[in-house]
Amino acid sequence: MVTVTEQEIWVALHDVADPEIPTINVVDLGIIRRVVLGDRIRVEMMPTFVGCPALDLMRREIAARLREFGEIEVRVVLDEPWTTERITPDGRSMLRQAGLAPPPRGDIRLTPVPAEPVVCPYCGSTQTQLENLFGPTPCRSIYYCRACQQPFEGFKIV
Amino acid sequence: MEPELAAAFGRYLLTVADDELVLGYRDSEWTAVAPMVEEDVAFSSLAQDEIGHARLFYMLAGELLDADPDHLALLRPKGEYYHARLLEVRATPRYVESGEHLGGGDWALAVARRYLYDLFDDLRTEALLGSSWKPLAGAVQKVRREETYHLRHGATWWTALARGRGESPARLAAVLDARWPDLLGLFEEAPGEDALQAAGLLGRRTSLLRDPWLERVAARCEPLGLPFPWRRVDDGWELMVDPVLGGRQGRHGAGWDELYEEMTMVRRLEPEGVW
Repeated sequence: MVTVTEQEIWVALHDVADPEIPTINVVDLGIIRRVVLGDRIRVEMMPTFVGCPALDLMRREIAARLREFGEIEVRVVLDEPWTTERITPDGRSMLRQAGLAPPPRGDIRLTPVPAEPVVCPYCGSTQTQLENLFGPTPCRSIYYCRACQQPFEGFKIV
Repeated sequence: MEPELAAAFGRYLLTVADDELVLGYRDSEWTAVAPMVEEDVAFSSLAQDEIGHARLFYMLAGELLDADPDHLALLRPKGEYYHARLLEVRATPRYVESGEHLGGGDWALAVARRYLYDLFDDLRTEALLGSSWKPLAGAVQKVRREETYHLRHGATWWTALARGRGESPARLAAVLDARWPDLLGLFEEAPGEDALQAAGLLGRRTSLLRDPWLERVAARCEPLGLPFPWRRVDDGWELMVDPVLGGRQGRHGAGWDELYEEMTMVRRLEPEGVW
């Protein structure tokens, strides 16, 4: 029988980092949709990208962190898409700590002009330009900052 | 879902998954040999997305067919893959082990195939949004958000090649002339699509995606002076080329012999291997 509260589970989930961006945890990244307490503890998780290779690792790490509370089921849910709007305000600054620009606000656009300038995570300048829509992981693009002359990566809007 | 419909729908989803897997594989071959380093990154990322989408469709097909998704992806006999034949063709140059370049690659083929396939896939996933099978309809929403970036990338390169001042417009036109029959093979149906559409599982049969696709392609060829072998007639389009069919029934060409050998090699050597 599970005696833990839902709040305790959410607190513990803050300890589970994204394996590719260790400054952010799975709660602030917004990939935990729901925690359901029953005979066992079910955590519903939304992948950032369908083909995200870190998915299985994150499932295992969530299960390992919560094991002390009872039997755990981490279910990947696809019936509702994760979007970058789910990243919390704290999460956006955690991305900046990793040298990653948070995703611009607004919806995906088909034109290359962003809705708002992407801010350099190193110097805070908005004098930035998109170098490559695609980056080293499916969720990132590559930018260049003309002010501090640094290339940097930014989260795509998805 | 009735067993007969589930079997037909599972078989249909294999055509979608196989398309994505095979194009993902072929595009991943550009890693390190694309014309510029940005495209090494871009094509690798595009390929990774497609293989991710394939995995999703194999998972869904596996539920309907009571089969393991990994088995569906990599352990079926060669004649039981249902992708369109266009997608299995090799576009990258050949190299020998010493690293020597043997020629034969065609970036124009890679760009045209990816973009025209994505314009087709966009219509296909749009029709799947309305599927009465909720797990599929939800998952497709996610896929479509990712595909927005593919369409953006494809449009940029399509225009760049068509407007280039060097050999690129002629190269692109030559690819189109050679590949229209294979492109039309995308619209070949899987068995039983009429029943799937009647049951609401499939928003629109694959063959009915052809005319809206031709509209989209015409708008991208005619203003740029690219060849487009169709004539508009009162009730649609008159075709001046014949489609190459058979892919969706498991009949393939030499490109598939080569690719199947390579992509199933590890799985055949160590069927239970994990890493």
